[in-house]
Amino acid sequence: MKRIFFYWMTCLAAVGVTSCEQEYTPDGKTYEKQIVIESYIEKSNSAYPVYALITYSLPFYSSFGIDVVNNSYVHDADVSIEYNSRRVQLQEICLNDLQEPFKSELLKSLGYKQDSVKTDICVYVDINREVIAEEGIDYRLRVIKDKDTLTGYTTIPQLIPIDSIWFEIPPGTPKDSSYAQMFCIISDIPGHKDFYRYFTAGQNERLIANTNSVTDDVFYDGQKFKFTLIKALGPDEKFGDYSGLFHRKDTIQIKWCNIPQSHYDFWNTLETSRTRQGPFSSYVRIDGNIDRGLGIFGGQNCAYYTLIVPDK
Amino acid sequence: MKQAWITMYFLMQMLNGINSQQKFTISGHIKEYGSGETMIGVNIYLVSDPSVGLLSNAYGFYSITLDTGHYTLQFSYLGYTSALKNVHLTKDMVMDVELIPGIQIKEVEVTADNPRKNIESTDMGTIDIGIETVKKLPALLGEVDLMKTLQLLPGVSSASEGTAGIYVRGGGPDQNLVLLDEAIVYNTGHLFGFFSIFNSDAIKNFTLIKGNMPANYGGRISSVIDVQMKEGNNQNYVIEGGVGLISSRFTVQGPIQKNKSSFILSGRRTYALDLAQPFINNTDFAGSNYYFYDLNAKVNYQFSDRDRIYLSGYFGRDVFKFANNKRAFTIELPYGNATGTLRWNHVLNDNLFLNLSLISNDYKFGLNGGQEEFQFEVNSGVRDYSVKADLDYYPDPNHQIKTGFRYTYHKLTPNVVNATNGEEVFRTNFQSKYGHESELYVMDDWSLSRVFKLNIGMRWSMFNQVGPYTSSLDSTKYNSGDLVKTYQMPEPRIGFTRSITNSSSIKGGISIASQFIHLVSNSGSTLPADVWVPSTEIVKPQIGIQYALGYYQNFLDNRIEASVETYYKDLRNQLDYRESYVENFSAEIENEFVSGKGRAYGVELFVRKNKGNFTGWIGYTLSRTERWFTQIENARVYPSVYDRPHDLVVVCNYALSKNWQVSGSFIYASGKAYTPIKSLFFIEGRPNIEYGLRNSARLEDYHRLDLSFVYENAEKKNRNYHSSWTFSIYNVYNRKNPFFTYTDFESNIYSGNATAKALKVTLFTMIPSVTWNFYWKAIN
Repeated sequence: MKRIFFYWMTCLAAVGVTSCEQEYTPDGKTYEKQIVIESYIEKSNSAYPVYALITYSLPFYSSFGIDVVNNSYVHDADVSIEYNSRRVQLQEICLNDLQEPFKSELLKSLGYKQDSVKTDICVYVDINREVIAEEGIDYRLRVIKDKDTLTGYTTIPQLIPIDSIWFEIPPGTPKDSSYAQMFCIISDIPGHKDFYRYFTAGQNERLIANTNSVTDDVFYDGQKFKFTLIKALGPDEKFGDYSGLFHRKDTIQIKWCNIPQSHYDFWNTLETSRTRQGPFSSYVRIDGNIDRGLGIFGGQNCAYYTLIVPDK
Repeated sequence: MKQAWITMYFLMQMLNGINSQQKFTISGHIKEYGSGETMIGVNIYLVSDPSVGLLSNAYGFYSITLDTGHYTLQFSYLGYTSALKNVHLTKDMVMDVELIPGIQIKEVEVTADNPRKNIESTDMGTIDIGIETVKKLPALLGEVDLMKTLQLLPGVSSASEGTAGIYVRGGGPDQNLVLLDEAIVYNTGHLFGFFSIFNSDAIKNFTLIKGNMPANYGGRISSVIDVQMKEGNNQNYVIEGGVGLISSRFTVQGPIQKNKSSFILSGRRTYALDLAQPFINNTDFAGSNYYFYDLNAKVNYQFSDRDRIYLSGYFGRDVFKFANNKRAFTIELPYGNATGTLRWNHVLNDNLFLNLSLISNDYKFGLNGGQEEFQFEVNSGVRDYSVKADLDYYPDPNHQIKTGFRYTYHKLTPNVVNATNGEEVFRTNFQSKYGHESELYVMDDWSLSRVFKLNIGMRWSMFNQVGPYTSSLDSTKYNSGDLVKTYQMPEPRIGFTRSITNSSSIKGGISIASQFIHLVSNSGSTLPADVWVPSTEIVKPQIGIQYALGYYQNFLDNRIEASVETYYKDLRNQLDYRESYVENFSAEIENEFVSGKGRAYGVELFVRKNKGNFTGWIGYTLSRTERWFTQIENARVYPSVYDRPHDLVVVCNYALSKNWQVSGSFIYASGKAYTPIKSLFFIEGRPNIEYGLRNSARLEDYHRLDLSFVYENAEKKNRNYHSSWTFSIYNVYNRKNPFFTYTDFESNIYSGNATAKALKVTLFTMIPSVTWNFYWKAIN
């Protein structure tokens, strides 16, 4: 509720009074380099192998050019996944080390257009797909870089798939027949805390998450509930009248996941932190699950859906 | 309880009997000439010995017991002509006194209005500002605001620029006891805090106590803002009001039965967006609007010389509506307070005064809206019912004893959500929380000698949390009315005054206070959406212990008063949200709190000139306010959001001519503490902020000059109809004070052209305004 409240108050403050803004450079004295991990272990038919993007946090620059981004990757780290008394080492791969057409195919499979990626992305990957993603197993990620050892723990919860998906004419007037709003039905498990995250994309596009991509089941515990699926806003898209709606006749993808609480807490705090700005709000510290570092090691159990938005 | 009262009464009668063998009592009410309004805090003393005296109480009653003899009593009050009364005291006598506002009348003209009150009283950190002074000061958008005037006093700072919320000596906004005719006001702000709920036309008197709180006040640990509404003119009908840029005010008052009974009805409403409705209605946002309104009403009736009843009420609402017809989306946000007070004043005998009050207050916050078949509503609030009795006893001029009790039934409703999506219904299972708060106090303002006075008091407070409630500690379920938890707090208070010379004194005091109702905000300032919570088995009562010492000196025959006060506050069981807290409806809010400690200390300098064509004050505060919580940054001591190390205020008013007055206020304060950006990191290709240590950076220092010019035709001023114009300029030299900061990120990191901007936003640049005020009085 407060998010809605903050939003409207900020609008009101902006509209109602004479305000102005000035750019400033945050004090660099507080900067402290830290290792950031973004790693997921996914159970699904379309899962990527387990991977870990490992970078350094950056001071506040006004722009992040190719060199800045390339230099942020942590190289030569010892990265492994442990589970069921097994330990699997992840291999470092950098995009520029890959040969064509494998590089283009990889980018395509990740949903990137080749010319949109200009930085040399480096990632630690379970190349041989040795890590088996299973429900209820505890996984440990360990990263050793120089004298630092970082760890993170996660698990994979039970998947609660979407029961049904359909489209309706968007609310509001005038009724625009070229767009549709998507809904789905979920049958939540009673007496069990469930956490959900979803992604959307067009055909052959990269699946991306909406600005509020996670939810818990506090309102719907054990219920069959109707849920609105919002089309995520791409990085270059501006919010507009038809944001969140799907264009009719388009082929679209949905990725629907169940995640454990630590994974939910991370995204819940991160997404709130991104939107929590303005005169009436205070900061939100992002609640990651990496010991001695920043970021997330998140398990997820996902289902993928591809469908065509009906003409009518 | 009844037995205790009877025992207390007879004990007082006995004491009175012993002390009054050679003594007689003069008592009565003090009223304003022309309106019959009772006057609070009027200084009454013997001209032959100014150290013998007292102040009229909150209902305008006074009582002074003296030996048989001839006396000249002086009655004085700031802004009023003092009255001298010669009495030959051979028996108990009742003497009502009327004071004339403003104009000097030859027969009663005196040389000093209010001498040495600040030197001799045991009050510390107590400042009275006349409502007329408030009306002359520059105001944002011309809206005269009592709370913003308080921000101009040393030790008091604003929650953020332009807002009416206040922090007193490092205390949080929930730690201020705000009373309107004895009813607690839980939310003092309109328009998200930019304007206070107090309509200056309906207010008679207000007092800020930021230092040693007397024992008759409690329930909050930081300060008291005690506001009394006007009673209504019992002599003539009066209509007054004002038309401003964003709102208008209208007040009507008059006698129901002359000298016996009167009424006042006062309203205020904003209309800035109402005027824009024709334009809004032609857009997709038709139906959007915002306004707030206040209604103050009061009636009183004097049954006899000894009995009087008052019935007063306040009702105010903010209504914010937003509609986006293109997306069939609506949202409505109504919130506000309603208070009601029924009081019975009874003079038991010449030196024993009783006030009995029944009080209710109700603060509601609502948010509702939806999009077609999805509809939701969120409700929260506080509802209290109180009964209160105060007994003022004046056995002799050396003792003013006050005792009483207050009982309050609290119902606090957290954010209860109800939502429907077609046939599906969702709701949170949170229940309202209930509590009984009981308070008992006794205090004595005791003159041990001509130069040494004590104010000693003891307050005992108790809070019972009762069901229905489900314990999150052991899952015990409590039914309605079942006792869950009891807290009891003895709260001793002591203050002293030692006069050094006729124009100087030192004062000191220690006070302990506890608080059972809390408001924890995780925003930059308090908001109407913030939820009040009671003490429970999880949330312990807040405790504040304040030590204060001050030196007071008057100059130039008391025309200039000055003081230096130092204080140290020890704050326990302070509340905050846990780190990484995000608003949600999945957990009881009390489970999201962490408990810690705090301290505030500082020095306040204050110089004020009250008389002459040039009046005003200078206040400077040097202070620190800190908090620490075991679960926040491992108990690192950090400056609280209320911390303002330096705070300088200069306020002045000058009568340029018979018709023109100019007022100005200048504020300089240290920048607000905030949590800086430590670094950026990328997740899913988008930048995110890692924040540094809490409140470890500061915004730029804040300073601002405001001016106002009041034009009033002096020749017409004393006629039955007159009007005035007030021209205000807020932020005269257009200082761009940063109000908040934010960051703006663009593009995707993998494309190699991501940008980040950190921005400071100034909310209020230079803002001129104009207000027209009118006054009409019926001539009998």
